Amino acid sequence: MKTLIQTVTVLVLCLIAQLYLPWWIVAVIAAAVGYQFDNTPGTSFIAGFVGVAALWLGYAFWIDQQTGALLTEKIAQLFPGKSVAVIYTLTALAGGVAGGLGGLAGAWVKNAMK
Amino acid sequence: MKKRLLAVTGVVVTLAWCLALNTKFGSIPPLGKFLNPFRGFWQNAESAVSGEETLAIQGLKSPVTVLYDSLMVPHIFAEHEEDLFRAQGYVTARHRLWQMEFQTHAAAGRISEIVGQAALDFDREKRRKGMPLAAQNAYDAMISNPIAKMVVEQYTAGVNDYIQSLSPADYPIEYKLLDYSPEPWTPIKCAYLLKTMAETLNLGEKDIEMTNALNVFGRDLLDVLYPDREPVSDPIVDKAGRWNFKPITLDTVPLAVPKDLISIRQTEKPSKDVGSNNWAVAGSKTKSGAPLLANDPHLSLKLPSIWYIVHLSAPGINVMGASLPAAPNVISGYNDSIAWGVTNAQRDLVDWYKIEFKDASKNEYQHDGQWKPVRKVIEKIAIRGAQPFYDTVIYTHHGPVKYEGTFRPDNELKHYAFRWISHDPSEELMTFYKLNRARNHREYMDALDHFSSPAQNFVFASSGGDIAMRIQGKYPVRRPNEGKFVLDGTRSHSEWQAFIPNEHNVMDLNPSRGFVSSANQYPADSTYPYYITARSYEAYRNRRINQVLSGLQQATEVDMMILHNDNYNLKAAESLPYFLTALDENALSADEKAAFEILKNWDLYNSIDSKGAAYYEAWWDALYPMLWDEIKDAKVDLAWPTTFNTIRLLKTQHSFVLFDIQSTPEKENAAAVLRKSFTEAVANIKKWEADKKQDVNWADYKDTFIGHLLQGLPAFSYHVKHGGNHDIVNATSSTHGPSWRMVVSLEKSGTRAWATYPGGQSGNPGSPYYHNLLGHWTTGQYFPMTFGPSAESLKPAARFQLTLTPAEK
Repeated sequence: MKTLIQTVTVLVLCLIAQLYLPWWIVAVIAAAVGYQFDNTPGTSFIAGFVGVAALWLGYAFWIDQQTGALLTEKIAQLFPGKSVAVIYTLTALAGGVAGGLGGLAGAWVKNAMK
Repeated sequence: MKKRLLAVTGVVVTLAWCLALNTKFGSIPPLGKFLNPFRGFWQNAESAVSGEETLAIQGLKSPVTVLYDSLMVPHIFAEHEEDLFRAQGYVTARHRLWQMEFQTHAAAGRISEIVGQAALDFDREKRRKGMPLAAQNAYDAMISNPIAKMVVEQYTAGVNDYIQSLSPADYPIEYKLLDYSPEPWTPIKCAYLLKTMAETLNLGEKDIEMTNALNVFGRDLLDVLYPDREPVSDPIVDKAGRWNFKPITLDTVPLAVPKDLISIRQTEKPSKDVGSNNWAVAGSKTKSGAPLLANDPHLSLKLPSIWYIVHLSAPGINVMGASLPAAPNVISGYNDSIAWGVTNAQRDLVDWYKIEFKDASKNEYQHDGQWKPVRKVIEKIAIRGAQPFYDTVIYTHHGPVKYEGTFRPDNELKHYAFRWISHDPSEELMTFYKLNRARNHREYMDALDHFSSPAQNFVFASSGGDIAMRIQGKYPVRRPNEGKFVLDGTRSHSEWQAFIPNEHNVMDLNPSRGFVSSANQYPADSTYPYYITARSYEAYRNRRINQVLSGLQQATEVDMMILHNDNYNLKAAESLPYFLTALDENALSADEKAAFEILKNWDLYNSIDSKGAAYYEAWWDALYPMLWDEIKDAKVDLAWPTTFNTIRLLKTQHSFVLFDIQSTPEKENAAAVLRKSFTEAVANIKKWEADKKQDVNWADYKDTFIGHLLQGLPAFSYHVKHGGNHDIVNATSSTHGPSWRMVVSLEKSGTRAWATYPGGQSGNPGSPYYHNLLGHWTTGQYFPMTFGPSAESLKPAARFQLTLTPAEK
């Protein structure tokens, strides 16, 4: 339960912050949330990863719904595999890993402070 | 201790990940930034627009209404002309900002700033040909004219209004791919855009190639290979014996041509596929009784398209047509009373002068017995990811010494300065400002008096019933043969000493044949009293157009559209029957025999599905370099004979000395080269068929490609199936073609127009309007243009309304 709350917290805070700040703020937020929640490092990684990846994927998916994925199909041509699935995977990984690593770092810093 | 180590590791790894994904590696964009749906490429995805939007803009005098129709064409209605140009800048940037900045960066030699070292040679070439000088002179002329100053400053303010409204999430996608940001717009960028058009259109010359050819082939052969005037009739204006003015003449001096071979390997010249068609048909030959006008400029086919359709309306002006993003006004279009269009005037407006420097310091050069100081300009070229490059460009009073030092030099004793008409101050902006408002022939003439470069054939028609043509530019008065070769730069008598007065330029009004037309051919009949020379003149499209127009009665807009898309290959009609006589049917292989039959039965149209067109063009493409192998393989740059002259020589001088293929022991004549090239062409087609696993057809074989400005990035580019070719009225080659097709009917009850272009109004590959016009263009269809005098009259056709209102201070 606490993991889910941490995940949702990351997601919501990232959503708000991203309206105003660059993409890497997700790592900072995941770290701060990880520090605050004091879950195990592994759990904190997953919460950060899933929180950000879900947010990015969800928003990307919503944009594609609005626009018929017109641009995503073109951008896919620029990447290996030339498939929209690759773009979604890379998007989830780029944000997710930043969030996950942030969450992990937050938890480890918290542990070091104990 | 271990816990601390973990904490530090966690922070460092997180930072490293963020840093890595915030950095561009080679051509890979910074992935974190790029893939972030809040600011990355996802934000550039658009859907069809509708509804209304209101924006407050500071400094606007009164509200401006912009109605976008179903093609996303903006119809701008302003109450003050200052606001009109401000809005034009704003709406153009809204659709085309990246293109506007990229093209003007390219013109200014600033691409290395964006892409790094790879573009350094490109940038040096721009600087060394004097683009900064040309733009500065144009800019100085602009701001010294109160109207031009107002126009360009308002347009600039409008572009900046848009730039300032952007957050990084809104940047056009190319900025995100290349990871940079737009900079503020400045008026000189508008000057750069006009000068880069001049670069495309008026930089065609062959002075160095002709000088080498003279010294390699000798005078007699030279006159055969490159005649001044080819025996092909139909000049743009034929008023034999009716040029009623006393021409300016220069004192006679013998032509001094340097005797040396010039080993400079020049940078790429403007493509010979650049050209255009335009014509106007008098009311006496049209069904409605109103004049019809048509224009299609043939340029490099790119996305975003070079043209942007716009409708500008304010008190005193109601004009619509194709504009160039980064330049105010409409360039090819129509208003309530007139229509006009442009094709390129073929004219030599570049000269090279041989310079003698005093010594290796290149600080002084000889001129009329004196040593004159050079002007050295240090060009700083910023390079992304590297130290700036400093290039010293040496200017003489002729112009810059382009090739010298570390830039493609000949040798340190031979230098050549470059004189180009487009380096001179000029005020083209005033021409278009006035043309946009012109109501009759007199006002059209007045507008053109301001135009000097790039020289254009301006076609005209009015609802008052006039049709006209004027070949307008600033042309030096030349002695016979002057300008064809490199000139002696040490003496002033070979310099441009006078210019042809505007009233002596080639022009025509309401000729008795009932139409005017131009297609880059020779401008005037042989009685025109000034010497005219150019890199080349068009020989086929113009005759086909005149042939069709002569035969038309009761013409309608549909006839104009059909002629735009006419695929009849006059060049093939004049050459193929002769080519085929060279082949011995019994000596052909099975594939060759089949090709022979296809060609014999070909209807001479380069239509999409034509096999004959594919074989003919493949044959020509193999024949031309094989015939002129002496030129292709020469150690120095030599001029190439024109297509027309090549065919004429093949037909009339069977054993011409240069037809021999140097690499073979035999002595080839015309028939032998035709046979060899035919064999090669058939082999090329068979290889193509094997590679593509399909039978050949002309459109697929030609493969017209509309490439994105970023080196034809495949994701943002399109291949289209379209007929035609260079030398054909539908001049669509694999890379160039009709970049804008417009047909206008000048009816008293109101101007009607139809148009299309190979692209779309939006420059954003993520927009449904990025290439929505391309399909119609490809199939030769046109969109009726929505045009009217007031916002009210157009509201029913509007899909989206943008209102710009004055912001509170």
